[in-house]
Amino acid sequence: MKPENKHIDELLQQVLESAELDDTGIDWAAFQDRKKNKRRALLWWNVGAAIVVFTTGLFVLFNSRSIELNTNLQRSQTDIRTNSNSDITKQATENKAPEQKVTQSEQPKTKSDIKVQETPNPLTSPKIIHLKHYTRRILTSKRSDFPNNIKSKQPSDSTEQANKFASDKPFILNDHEDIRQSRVNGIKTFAYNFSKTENIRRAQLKPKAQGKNLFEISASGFACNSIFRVMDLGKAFIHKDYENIRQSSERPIGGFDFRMSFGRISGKAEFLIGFGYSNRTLQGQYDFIYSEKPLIDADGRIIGYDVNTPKRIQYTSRQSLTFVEVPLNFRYALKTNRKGHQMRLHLGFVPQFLKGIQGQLPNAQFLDFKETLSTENFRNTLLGGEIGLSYLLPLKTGMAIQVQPYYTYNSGFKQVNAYYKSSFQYFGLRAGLHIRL
Amino acid sequence: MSEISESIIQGCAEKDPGCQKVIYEYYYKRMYAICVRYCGDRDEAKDLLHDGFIKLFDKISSFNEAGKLDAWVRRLFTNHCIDYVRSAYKKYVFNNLDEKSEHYSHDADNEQDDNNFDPLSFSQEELLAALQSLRPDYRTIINLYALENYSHQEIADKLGIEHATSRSKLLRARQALKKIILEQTKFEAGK
Repeated sequence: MKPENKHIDELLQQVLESAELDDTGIDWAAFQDRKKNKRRALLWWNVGAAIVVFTTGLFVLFNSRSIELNTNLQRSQTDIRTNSNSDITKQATENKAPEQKVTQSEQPKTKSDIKVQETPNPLTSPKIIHLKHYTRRILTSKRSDFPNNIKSKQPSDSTEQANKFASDKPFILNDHEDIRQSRVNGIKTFAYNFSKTENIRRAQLKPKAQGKNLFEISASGFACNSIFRVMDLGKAFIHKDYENIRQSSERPIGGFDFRMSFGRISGKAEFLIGFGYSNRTLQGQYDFIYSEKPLIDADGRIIGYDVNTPKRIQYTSRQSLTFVEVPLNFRYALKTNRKGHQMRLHLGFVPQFLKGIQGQLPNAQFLDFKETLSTENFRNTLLGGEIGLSYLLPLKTGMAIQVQPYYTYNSGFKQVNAYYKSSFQYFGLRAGLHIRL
Repeated sequence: MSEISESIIQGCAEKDPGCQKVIYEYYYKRMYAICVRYCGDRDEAKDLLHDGFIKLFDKISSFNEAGKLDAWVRRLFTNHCIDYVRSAYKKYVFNNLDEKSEHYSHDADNEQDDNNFDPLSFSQEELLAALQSLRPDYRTIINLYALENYSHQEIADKLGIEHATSRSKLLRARQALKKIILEQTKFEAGK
């Protein structure tokens, strides 16, 4: 057949107007998977957004409350007779602890940068494209200047021409070296010279990366050991036996926490920030002899002790503290085996803010007086550090079970008037779900 | 004539998975070819195809042109591809200030080639690969002009560019494509 003079547009119309292409990964099942993944991604976006809004609201609420500590101790008027024959009468005074405003540090913003990406299929294996039978059709055009003499016609030797495009003849796209190279390297090796901008863009083309965003949900149980210490500042204001009584009477029972975190993977490292809730319980079994009553001056300082009739103070109290926490975690992959099980080093920095407290304990000055704990008179903010090992056991695409034994030390840095301090240290075991998005 | 009956379209509008599957399997190969024409990458084209069908199934309830489903689907996918190209390559150069409109020839639309292009010498794959090698803006404009039969004014409105820019880019796109095809022909001949 004699070749015709064809405008490039006409060539495209003749060949591509009603083209059909087949490929792997575009069938109905693949479409269903993509729809499902899209829905899942949307759901996690909404969950993340809800957590960010909730956490931000919570910390705005915390920061807007200033806690005024106002300890009122009412003491009855007492006559104190000393051996030196002088009577000292002390008037009952209302002792107001200095007002203390407690403000909290600002919550770091939670990143939500979730993006679903599919694992790429690098151009290493050839794609087999099944050609459809070549078809022609009558062309129509909206443009008045478009030539109207293009008509559909059958090739003179339709069998021979059709066989050229028979569907059982696979076209191995990547056998064409130039096409493969231009797409793999990003540098055009065809004859056409692209602009510098285009060449730079093609050089930067990379296969789509695996999902780098993380979502984690976990729960942990632990037995905690509490350490109570009176600060130097507080020694003048607190009964001399108070520290010993607390240290010897209070025993940890245990605790638990729940956490949700979002993060990002960068090479072997993971960075996560989250939101959590924890609770720890102590058992106070108080059993001591109270015989020395403190003498308090106008400023609340203890200036001496008066020997009293000894009395035994005995009671038990379960103390429960709940915290809201903002864990900042860093993990580094140490070892990965062939099955994808991974062992990682875990480091965490966890500010914790007291949300609720229950129980009773002796008053810091008058040990026979039971003080009921509440967030009105007790404020505790902890800074915690965690170290541990994290084991990842993969489930299916992107999901894994995480088991993490760890040690943590939490130190309170703002307590009642900064007179004493409670710290907690414990070993714990955390388990949860680790999802790669 | 469309092989899709009214009942299938109705079922699709009611989100019936069986009807959706029928429409998907009837159109996906043609629409995939359209997506490949607009994308520089097969993986991008697959994502575009699936997103296009999600859009189609959402909007099919508003389809009421009896017997013109083919044209409606084609138009939807074309617009979907154009939107994608505009957002994916917006930093690119749809309105490149380097383009000199004075190079535009008034005869560009009716310019005759010195080259002989025998359409039977070219397979779909070869032409699609050549199209994919073009710059995104050239590729889009030549698709819209040559294959979708848009006028320059319509292309300018669609892409938010000047009428003269559309003409000059079309000219350059044709030149680039011709060069690729000729090199391809020489390459094949040399084998």
